[in-house]
Amino acid sequence: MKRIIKFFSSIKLAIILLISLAFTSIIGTVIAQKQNPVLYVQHYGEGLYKLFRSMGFFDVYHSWWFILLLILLSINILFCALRRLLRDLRHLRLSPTRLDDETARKFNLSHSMMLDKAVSECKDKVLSIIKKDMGGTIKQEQGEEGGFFFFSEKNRHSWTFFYLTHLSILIILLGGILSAVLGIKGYMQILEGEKTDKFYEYASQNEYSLGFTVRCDKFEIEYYPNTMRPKDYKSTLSILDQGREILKKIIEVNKPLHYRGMTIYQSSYGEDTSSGNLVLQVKPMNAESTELFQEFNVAAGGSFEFTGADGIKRQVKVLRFLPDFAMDGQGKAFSKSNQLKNPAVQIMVTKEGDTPFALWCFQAYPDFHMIKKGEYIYTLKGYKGRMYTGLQVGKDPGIWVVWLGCILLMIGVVLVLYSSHQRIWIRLTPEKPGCGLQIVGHADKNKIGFENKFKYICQELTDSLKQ
Amino acid sequence: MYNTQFFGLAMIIYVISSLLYIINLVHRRMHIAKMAFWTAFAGLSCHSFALILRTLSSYRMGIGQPPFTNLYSSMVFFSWSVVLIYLIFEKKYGYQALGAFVMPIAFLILASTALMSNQIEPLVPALQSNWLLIHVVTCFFGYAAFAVAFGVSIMYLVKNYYEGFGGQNGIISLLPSTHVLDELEYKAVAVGFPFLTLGIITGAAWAHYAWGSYWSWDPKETWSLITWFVYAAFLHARFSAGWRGRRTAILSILGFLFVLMTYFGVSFLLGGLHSYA
Repeated sequence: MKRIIKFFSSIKLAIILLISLAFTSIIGTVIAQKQNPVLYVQHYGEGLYKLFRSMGFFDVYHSWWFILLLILLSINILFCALRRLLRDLRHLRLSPTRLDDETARKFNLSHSMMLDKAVSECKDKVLSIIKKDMGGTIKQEQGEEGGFFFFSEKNRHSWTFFYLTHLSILIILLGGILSAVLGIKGYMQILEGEKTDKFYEYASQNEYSLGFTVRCDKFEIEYYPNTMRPKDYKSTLSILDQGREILKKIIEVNKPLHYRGMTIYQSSYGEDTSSGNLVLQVKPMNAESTELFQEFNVAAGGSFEFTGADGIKRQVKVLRFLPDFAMDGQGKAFSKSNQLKNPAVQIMVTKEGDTPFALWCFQAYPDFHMIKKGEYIYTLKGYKGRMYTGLQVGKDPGIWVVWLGCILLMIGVVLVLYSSHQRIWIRLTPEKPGCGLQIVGHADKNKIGFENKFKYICQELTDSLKQ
Repeated sequence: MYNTQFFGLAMIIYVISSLLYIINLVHRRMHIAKMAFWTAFAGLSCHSFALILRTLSSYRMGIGQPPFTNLYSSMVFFSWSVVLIYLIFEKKYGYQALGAFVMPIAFLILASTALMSNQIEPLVPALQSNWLLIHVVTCFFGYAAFAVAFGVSIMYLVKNYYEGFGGQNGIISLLPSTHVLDELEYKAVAVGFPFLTLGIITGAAWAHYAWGSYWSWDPKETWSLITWFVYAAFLHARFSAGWRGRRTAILSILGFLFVLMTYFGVSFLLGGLHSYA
């Protein structure tokens, strides 16, 4: 039992754990985490993929062995704190205020001098010097055989800051556990003008109820002047609770909305690519004047008709609209995203008395067309759809525990590093003639600074007592 | 853009100051040491002035941002922090010999920015936050103090190596004693550690407000935590295990390599949320 306690409370274990955590954390920054298994197999091959997966390398920070390291660290901190507490309490009781030979041997800052004045003559001068140069709490005691003792101590509570620092780390870890167990994080997409009271959790993709309704009144992107660099993404949101409109707020990146324990963040955006309208321009090939250009608004899946300059009717039907056109490995067209990055439309043109033909039109490449001679050129001019806003929703009941831990940690770290427990003992013993003075000092931190102070005090004592 | 010319001027002044510190190491003249200090101070003033100019011109461009939002400006700020922290150290502890090791570091950091684009670029929405200022300043003060500790640790190892041969000769004997260097190294780490802690905490707070997650194991976050672990190990080794001298000097050098990895390595090798700087 004693050996177990000793093992768990050893500084060696603490250093080993810190270094192990450091090195295992590196794995997760080198191997991309939580990706699609297909990508892993592509990158590492089947064998390595299976090995890494079994070792939890694809989600290092939630693997059993990483969590085990964190648990060991917590136990280590707790045991260290308890063992130290027992020691500190014992020391506190035993801390001598009278300088004896044993204390004098224990600390290496020590100085002795012989004075030709009596103890009673020196007493007041010594007191005034330690009051001036050392401060802190001062104790004076009359010893036996005419001796006299002084003890001065500063920052005597600095020993408690160790507990502040280390317990604050346990508080942060506790907050992390609360966040993981009680918190939830998900997303929702709302079209402008629509509302919803549901969201999807990231990890499981399960649907959850918000408990209230969010309506997106407007979504807009602001750009830096004369550039296409986005300056801000803004959603105007209304919160409806039991049918009543409670509040309306514009959220931005860095400015989320809080309501009933849930926080709603601006996270992404996109365009509704199913219910909007395409703008298609139709012009005769080789047309010189723009008078013959015609524009049509058409829904995806819809169609329109026009009569050409040759008097023949043509029907144009929209087959597919892809907001972000790309080709897959087999040469099939698909949309990479729901954002209008490379809009393309596939249309079917039916000229009366001719066989219908299909073609693609790209907004970004208006000159790319495959049209028979003497025919019309079809150009995709734009897409007018409603925007949707992508919101992250979540609640995190652990957050205040984490912040509390962080604040305590910050205070603790500064105090632990900068508050040093300083002690000075002085003993006056009657000798013939006059008296002997011995001074001993100790500081647990900032030893060089304290050494200089100690030397200065010795000098002052010599100067004022030896005259 | 006048600001870059003033950065250039500051760089030249830092070279002169570094040389003066090195000359002082050899000749040990009080007036040379004083000159080195005031030259470094003049360089810092020029450097600060350039930072202010850069901020003002970014406001004139309608972008309006603190002067550390891409790699170029963050390096310029890093160099500024190193000089500032060093001069405070010198003023407080009075060991001018450190300057011969630390000022060249500040100069090299500033000189390397000559290879980078110095354009002021607009901030992406995620970076537009009041947390930016406090997060970056605390992190870089931490890095700068660790850079000073790194310089001192190198001095320690050099001094310790030559003392091993019993040689009290030449320049080496002019360095502060190993006892003092050991203490100064600890002091620099003791400045860096609270700043790094605060930097990580403010980063977590910012991530919470911007992304709704105070910790997401992004590579930059993870490496800053790893760096924190290394310096925590340093402090424990010193406080509790009683390590001194060579072993802690090596830990402090190792720690600074992790700082460099957190700062540069992650951006160049790993990517993630912090890919802009």
